[in-house]
Amino acid sequence: MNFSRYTSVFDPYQRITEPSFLKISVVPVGSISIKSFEHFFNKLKQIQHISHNQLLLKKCRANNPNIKQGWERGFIKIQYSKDKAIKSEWEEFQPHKKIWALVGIANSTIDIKQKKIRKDLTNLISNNKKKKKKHKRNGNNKGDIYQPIVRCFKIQNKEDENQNKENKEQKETKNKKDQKPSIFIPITDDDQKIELAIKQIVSDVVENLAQIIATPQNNWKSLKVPFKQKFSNEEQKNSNKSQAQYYKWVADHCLLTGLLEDARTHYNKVITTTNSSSDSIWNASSKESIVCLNILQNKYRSKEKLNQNVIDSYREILLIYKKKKIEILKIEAALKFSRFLLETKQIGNRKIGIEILYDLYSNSPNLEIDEMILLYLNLASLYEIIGFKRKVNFFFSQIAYLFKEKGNWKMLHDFILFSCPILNEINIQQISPSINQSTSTSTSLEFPLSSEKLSSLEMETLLSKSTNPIEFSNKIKNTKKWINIQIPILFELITASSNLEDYLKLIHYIIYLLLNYRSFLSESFQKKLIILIEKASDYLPLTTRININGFPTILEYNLITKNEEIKLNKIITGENENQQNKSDVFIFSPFAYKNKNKNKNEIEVIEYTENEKINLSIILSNPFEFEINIHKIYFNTNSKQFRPFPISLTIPPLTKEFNCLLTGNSLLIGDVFEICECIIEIYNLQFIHPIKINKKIKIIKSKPLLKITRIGSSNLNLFEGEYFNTSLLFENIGSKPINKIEISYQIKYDKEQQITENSIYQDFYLPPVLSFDEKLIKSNCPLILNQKFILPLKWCARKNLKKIDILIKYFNHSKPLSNLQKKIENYNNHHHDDDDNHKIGSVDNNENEDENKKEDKNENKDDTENKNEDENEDENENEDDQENEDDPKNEIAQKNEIEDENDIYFRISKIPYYLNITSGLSLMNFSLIKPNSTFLKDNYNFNNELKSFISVLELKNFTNMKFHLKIKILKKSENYNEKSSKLIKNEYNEYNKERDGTNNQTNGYNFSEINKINKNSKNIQKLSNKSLTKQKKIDFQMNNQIFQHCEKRLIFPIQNLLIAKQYSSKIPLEETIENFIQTIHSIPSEEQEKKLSQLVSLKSMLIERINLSWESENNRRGGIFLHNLVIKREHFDILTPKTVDVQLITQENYNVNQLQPLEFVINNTRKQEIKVQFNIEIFEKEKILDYLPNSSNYINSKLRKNRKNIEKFFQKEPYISKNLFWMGQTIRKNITINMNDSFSHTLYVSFFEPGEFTLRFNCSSLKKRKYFFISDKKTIQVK
Amino acid sequence: MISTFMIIGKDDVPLYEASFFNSKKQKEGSSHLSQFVIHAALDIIEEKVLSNENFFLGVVDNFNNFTVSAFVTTGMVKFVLLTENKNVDSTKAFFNDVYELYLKVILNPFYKQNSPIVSPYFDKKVREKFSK
Repeated sequence: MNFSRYTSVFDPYQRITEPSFLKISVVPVGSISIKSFEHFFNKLKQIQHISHNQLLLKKCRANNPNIKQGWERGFIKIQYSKDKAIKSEWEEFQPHKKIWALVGIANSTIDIKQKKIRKDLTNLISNNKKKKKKHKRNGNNKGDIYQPIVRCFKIQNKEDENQNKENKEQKETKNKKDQKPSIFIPITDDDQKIELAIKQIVSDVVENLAQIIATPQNNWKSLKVPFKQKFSNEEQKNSNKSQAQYYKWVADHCLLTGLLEDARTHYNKVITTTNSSSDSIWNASSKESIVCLNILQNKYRSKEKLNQNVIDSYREILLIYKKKKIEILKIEAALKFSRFLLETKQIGNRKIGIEILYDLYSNSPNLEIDEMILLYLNLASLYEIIGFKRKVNFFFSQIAYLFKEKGNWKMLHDFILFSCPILNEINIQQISPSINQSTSTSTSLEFPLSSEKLSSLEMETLLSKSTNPIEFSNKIKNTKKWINIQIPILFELITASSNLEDYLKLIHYIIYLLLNYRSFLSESFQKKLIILIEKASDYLPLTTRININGFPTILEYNLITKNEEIKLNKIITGENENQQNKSDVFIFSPFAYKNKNKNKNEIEVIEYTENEKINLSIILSNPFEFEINIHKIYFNTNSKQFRPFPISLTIPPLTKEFNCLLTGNSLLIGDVFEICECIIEIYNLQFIHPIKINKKIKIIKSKPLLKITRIGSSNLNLFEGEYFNTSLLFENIGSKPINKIEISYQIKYDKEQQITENSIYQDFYLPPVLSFDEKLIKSNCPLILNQKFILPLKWCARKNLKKIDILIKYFNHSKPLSNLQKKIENYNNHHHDDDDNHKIGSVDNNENEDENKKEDKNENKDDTENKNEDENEDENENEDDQENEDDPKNEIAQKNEIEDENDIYFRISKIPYYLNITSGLSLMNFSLIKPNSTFLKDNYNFNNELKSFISVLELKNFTNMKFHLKIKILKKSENYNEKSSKLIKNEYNEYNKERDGTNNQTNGYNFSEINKINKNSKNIQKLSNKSLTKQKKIDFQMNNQIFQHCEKRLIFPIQNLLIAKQYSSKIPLEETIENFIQTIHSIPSEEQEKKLSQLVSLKSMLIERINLSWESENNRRGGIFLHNLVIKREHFDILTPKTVDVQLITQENYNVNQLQPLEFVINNTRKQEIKVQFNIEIFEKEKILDYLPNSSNYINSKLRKNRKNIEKFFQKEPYISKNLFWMGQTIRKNITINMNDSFSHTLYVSFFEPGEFTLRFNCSSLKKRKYFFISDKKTIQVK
Repeated sequence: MISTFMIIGKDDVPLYEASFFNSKKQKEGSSHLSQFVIHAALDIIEEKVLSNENFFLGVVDNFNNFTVSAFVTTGMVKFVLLTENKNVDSTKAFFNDVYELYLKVILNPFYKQNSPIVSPYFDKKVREKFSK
């Protein structure tokens, strides 16, 4: 039998002491404000206990002798409720459920008729008038005892009080006449008066109660109880059951009126009478009340374990209800007892409480849906007391599913959110359960948890930790974790919001589902969900804003500033880290902690000129298996004048990183703002992604703005000595022309180099590390708007180079003031000092930062940015000056000067290059050695002929690359004076003429080739093309321009003193030392010989350095320099066989004043005739006394000096020259000596004085460019 | 009738899950509810462990004719079985058998503690034991 159908009220909120409370319902009447109603209700609530002594009881004391005992001590407990009173069928069995008094609170200003009010209020007691039956009792003349006392408090002001007194008196007299008490009780905001009024009402109630208690059993009729049919009067009177029911009836009312002892005696009577009979329900109910009495009389402390007897008796009671299958009584009893047990917070009690609760839902109780909801709500609230979060959530979800059965989507949605609070993070709007919400539904639910409690619950703990979506991102085979719970819950939310036509929530839930559980959803299902979003978005207003991260996920973003290296900002920064981690698990920030330590107050200000584009690079990701079509993506700032340029994108499925560049600009000069959010528009929805960049953007007046773009990498990995070309692109993106650009660079070495003679020498003679064409810069200035040019930079890698900063200064004025220039220099110095702190890899040095450093200081001073951008800079400069210049007068003077020049300013950009120099090929040794040791004679003069020599190179290859090698021998240029350079030029002219004459177009002495060339001169070009590499062709061209570069870098023909075979051969891999030996096997022709001798003579004077150039297989080129190469004569003492021989034949004795012969012999062993000239020199004791002049135009400079000395000597001592000796026959010019012939000449000499003289006979070729000079020397004795 | 067996490790991480169906129709249905009931029962299991010396806790929870039995190892790994079968002895025997299997799993040096059990052998054996 289902007893639940008897009940219309299921009261799960009962407490175990509930039977002792007198229930008074308080309702608003008329148009009273909620505030004043609540105010008076709270005042009423304070009056909870009224002792019997205070009650104005009149009749009951006299009439009821039964209750006289205990009357003095007892007190009435009152329970107020705001609920609408609903007629319950259990009121007679459980009198505490009955509302004994109905109190209305009305405003005094409204004139309400008594009858109407009475009617309205009584209607409140029961909604169902038809079912209402009036029970008239015998012996009760007062009418229906079940009718509650109805009163209405009329709120009055104190001022009105006096006026109303008269009216009141009048009314009272009228009422007395009518014999009907007035239901209106005028009250003011006075506690005492309210208390008095309540006491009056309670007195009336207790009067009624006392009458009931005093009702003798004879006059008593059976109760109307839902589980039992009525007995006939006769049966009632005689049966034990009827007697038991009467005792219980009296006992219940005794309990309500606070007569505890009376109640106990009556209950005991019930128990004794029902023990024998089968009327176990009455028995159990009485026992239940006795437990209540026990608890009331022995106040249990919160941590005290309940008496075992009480527990046992209660278990017995529950068993009885269970046996009788009266679900309502069982559930109510179980709930109120377990609530009492759980609230005591004693472990033993708690354990029993859990057991009782467990019994409650274990066997699915046969209740209607509304009752089930109530039951589950109470179970959830009870489990919440002991912190069983998982149970709470489970019951919430069950409630949600029950609401689903009822088709109440709103409650389904709300309760699912309670059951899975992590979903609240979706944060569409604050959804919290309230009375209004629940009353608006068909059931009269009151949510057991207050909203305060709910908000205090921690998200993680309310559900199990494993429900955290972070763990779901790791898809593990065979384990689905708790997704079996979570995905269905999300589905329910989606269906609920769809049924509620709340499309915004629908979209949120779908996106949340996609983001967190996509790995568990099939591709087709994901696509279906996307279509659902698309459809739902049609119902939403245009561009609805949605605050959900991760769709699509923004991985990183970065404000791209001018010339700055890309430095990525991770999304999470500082304090928001934890929150963001919660809200979006897909954003991972390894730098989050790093950022934490940063000082947040340091906000950079970046300047942009008006109309300049602000670029923000964003990396998006699409983890889904469908493509995301972004209708618009743009970023927003907190400036109203900002104008973004949205772009549309399509991100392909499963894209980890998708880069895009967003732009926008601001039109307002002086505007300072920050980038705050990125907005992505998809399907008519705006997804807001907050962005935090620690940089402010300031819009300044247009300036000439030089955009410098580095073409090529900033990191150069070079081999030592390698040549490398990069370039810089200059572009004026500002609004004014740039009149002057100055470029300088600063070299930083790896280690502090010790300054030695060698290093200075090396730096001086090496090609510059960086070279560029200054003329190109000058030719491009002024650089007008949007004009651009490329400046090639030529690098020459040097050892220990670490970093080169290219400083580019540009001015709007071609001639900056001198003091301004000075300031710029100071600024530079200051600037450089700062930079020294930076290490390799730091990319902080850029134009903007440098400027920002300055302008940060002066931001506060900027009152009129438009006017005095330049002045600010000037001030900055002054600040810098303060470090360098201590003279305040100077400073002021300079300031004044600058102020006159309003529009002059400069900017400095800094382009860093990082060089990584590794050793590639290095030259260990270079020397020219003689091929044959037999020629190694000391007396061989360098100026003699050259026939052959050997060059030895010792090279080291440090790499795993192969190189081609080529040797250049270069001139030292700078040290040469004009004379020498002229000499070189002349020599070259001559050389070239000769070269042209012999049709020798090879610019080198590659002897083996020359031989070939001579045979077939027409094929020279072909041959050279064949045998020589590309690089050699370049050298050809260089030869044509040789004079232009003569002073700087003279390339001699000897540069190609190459090894013919080995020229293109490779240096073997990983060979540490490789010798290249050049030997000249064939004897050169006379023509070649001439040239060789010329070259060698030149070489001896000019060659200071040797350059070896190399080329690797991948076309990298470079050179090795032979620094500090001092070529001594010995090095080039390259000897040839004597082809012309000279002999001086003298007699053994010479006498004074006697002509005696002196013979010269010149032997020509050459294969051709020679033309010679000769002379003779006579010395006495190392002093030259005279010499035999020849007719040659050529005079050795050394001899010429000597000649001057001689003349001086002759002038001092003229006799010597005349008297010393006499020469007979003098010189002969243009002597031609045939091949293999000899020439002899006899000279007759007479000496005037005796002594020892030295004779030297010199013979040289007649040509201007003599190529031999031979002498012979002998000493004679004159007697 | 649907029966679900789960092994739940530290921090409520499910290590293993097996559902036993009598018919195909059941397969479509309420694995959602059974997991939810097991999840809710963890509260009571944790409460009961404190006052129980045995591994086997017996029937710990009950919902709509389903009983939830639990077995907690010394490492606080919970074996939870949701079934309609109320035979305590057979449930206890099943738990003991699974415990032996579980010990073998954790003895495996390649098994990381509190990580999901993905061994097909284990799965096969558990299903065999259940069918007994």
